[in-house]
Amino acid sequence: MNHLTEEQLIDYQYDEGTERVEIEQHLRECAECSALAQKMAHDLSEIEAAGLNTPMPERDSAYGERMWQSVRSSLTPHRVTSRAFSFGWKWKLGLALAGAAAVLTVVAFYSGRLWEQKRAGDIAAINAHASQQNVILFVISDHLDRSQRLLAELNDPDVAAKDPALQENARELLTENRLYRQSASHSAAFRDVRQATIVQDTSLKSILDKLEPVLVELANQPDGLDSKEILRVRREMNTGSLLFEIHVLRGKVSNEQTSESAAQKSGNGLI
Amino acid sequence: MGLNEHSAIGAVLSGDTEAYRALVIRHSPALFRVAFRITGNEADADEVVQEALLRGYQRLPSFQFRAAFGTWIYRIAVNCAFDLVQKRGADQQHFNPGNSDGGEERLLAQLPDAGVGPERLLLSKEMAAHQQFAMRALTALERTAFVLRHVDGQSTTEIGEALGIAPNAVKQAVFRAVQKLRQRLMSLRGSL
Repeated sequence: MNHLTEEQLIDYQYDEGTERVEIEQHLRECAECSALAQKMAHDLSEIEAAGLNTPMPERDSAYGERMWQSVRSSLTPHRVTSRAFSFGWKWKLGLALAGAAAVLTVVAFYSGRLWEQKRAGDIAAINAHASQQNVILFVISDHLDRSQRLLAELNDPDVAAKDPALQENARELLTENRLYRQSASHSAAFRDVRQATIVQDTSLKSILDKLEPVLVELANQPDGLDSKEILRVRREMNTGSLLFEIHVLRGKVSNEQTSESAAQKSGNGLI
Repeated sequence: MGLNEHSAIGAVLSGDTEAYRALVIRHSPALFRVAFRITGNEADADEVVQEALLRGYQRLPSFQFRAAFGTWIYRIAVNCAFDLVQKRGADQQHFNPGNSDGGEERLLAQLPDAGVGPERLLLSKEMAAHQQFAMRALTALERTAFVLRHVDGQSTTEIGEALGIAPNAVKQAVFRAVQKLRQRLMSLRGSL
């Protein structure tokens, strides 16, 4: 008989997890696990009985005002324009805009073709639609790939802090991300791709939205990025979870591309 | 998160620093409570609240309006408190919680006089000293996770999100804390 893991027992004690019925069944049958579970329960009740909740000191109604007075002098007004869009970034922004314009032109071109081909016949329309999606998927896939690599780098803050290009990469990705977010919101073609790739709560738009604040944090640190700062960003912005979401979405995008090309081949075979 | 808070954040981001005042006044007491539970010290808790408010202000451009400001700044405060406990732990490496090295007596001597009856005061001072002494056996992660789980009533998923670690790591940290605390309290009872 396989004994319960410590993790399963902890889940049981905290009434969390999804295996409660199975764990209870096992505990009825296994004296060893049952004894361990009882010891865990005993530990918890001992701690709760000890009343480790230290009495909370009083703070009067003026506490918030005192805190405000203590931080007020340290606040400098936020500038409406982001640091990322300062003068030194204009050429990069122009480059990114040109790239986005090129993408949208391609999208528009394929959209036009799609419109004409629809009238010409269903099979041709499927091929054109697949081509259109492939272009967008390719562009987005590259952006997600680079973002994924950047987020993965944050998992080791000491190594990431030594990467002189980290902040530069974050700034470039931030500029691109903003453009893709706008495109994703306004372009019907992007919406088609999103609909094709949305799986439950994971969507392209959602990931681009979540990615942006992380990139803002990394790009806009005035004194550069040391390991402590990287660790903080990773922890506060939960980049591990975002990395996983991107990984999942990229898998879906890849499957989408595969199924689209399979459908295209199949359609061609019918002609 | 009401519309007023959204408007205040919008105003702050437009350059109006005074708009941050309403957010500070509304959320400071809750931040103090969580900071005190984690640090176990009033002065440290005040320091954490100030640090969290400053960090929150600096990072406001990355705030997503879908989220509640209270939850967002709470997480920042948890991280500030965690950092402080970690720093204090590093500063006090000479303290060995496994030995009866007079740490409890030092704590008893450090506790402030609350100005109540002498017998009751002695009892509460003793109990508070035991509690503080036991909590000092924990690492920063164990202490933070334990406090958030058992005192603040947060789920392991919520704690994991706040600290940027996996829920399983939270569960293990909490349980290690429970085991250490129980051992520590048992040894204290035995020594009395």
